[in-house]
Amino acid sequence: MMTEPDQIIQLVSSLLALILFVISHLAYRRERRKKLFILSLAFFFYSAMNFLDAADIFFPQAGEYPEIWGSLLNFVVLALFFLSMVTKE
Amino acid sequence: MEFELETRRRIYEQIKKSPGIHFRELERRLQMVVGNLQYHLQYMEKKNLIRALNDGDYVRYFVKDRSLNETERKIMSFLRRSGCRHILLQLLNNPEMNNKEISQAVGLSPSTVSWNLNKLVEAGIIKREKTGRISKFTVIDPSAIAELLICYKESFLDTLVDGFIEMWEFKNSK
Repeated sequence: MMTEPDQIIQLVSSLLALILFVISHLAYRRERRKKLFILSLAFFFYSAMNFLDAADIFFPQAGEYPEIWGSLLNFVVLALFFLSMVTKE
Repeated sequence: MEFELETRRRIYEQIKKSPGIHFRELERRLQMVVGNLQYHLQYMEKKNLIRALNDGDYVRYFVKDRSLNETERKIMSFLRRSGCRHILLQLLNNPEMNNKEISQAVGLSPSTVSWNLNKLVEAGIIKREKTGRISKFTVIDPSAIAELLICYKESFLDTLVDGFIEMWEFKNSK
């Protein structure tokens, strides 16, 4: 069971990742480079992952979301970061 | 050219900051020689960047609100990319530079410079002339670029996006 400060930190991380998503998406729209698009997706999923973790604050009745989703999103984010590194233009 | 652009940008920014500023005040704030200031003000008036109004006692200066046409908007979007902006500045100062010379002057890798040059050629902002195996590049309409460079002001968002691109591409910051 998570404590409240944890959830707040995760919510702030989620917002920060959302800002990074917006910046990376703008960078992609400006440069039209594949690796920037992949990075923007990674930041989007990272933001979604943290938001789901902190969702108890807003939707306590929803209960905890299955751990498998958290692990899956974690994997997707890391895979996207890796993909952006190996992508050549 | 670069020095002139910088001076004109300083004057433009000062007028934008203080609409209706008169000549003596501009001269005092910018600490510029009268003849030099007059020359730049006349240039910018002619190019429709500023307008002068005589209120009877003083000639007052205002920045002109200009809506950008399609070509100018396209140029402006390239000026927002720091790499392209520095390449264009170099080409304004020294027309007919080749990829290697530009790369050395702006401190970016030849592949990044080549990528930016191709985009600028595709957009019709610069032209490529091939002599043998070497391509030389020249700005097609230098005065349009120079005018927009006077009005262009990098926003905080531009800085963030540039920083992000540089961070992930490990380009030299310019």
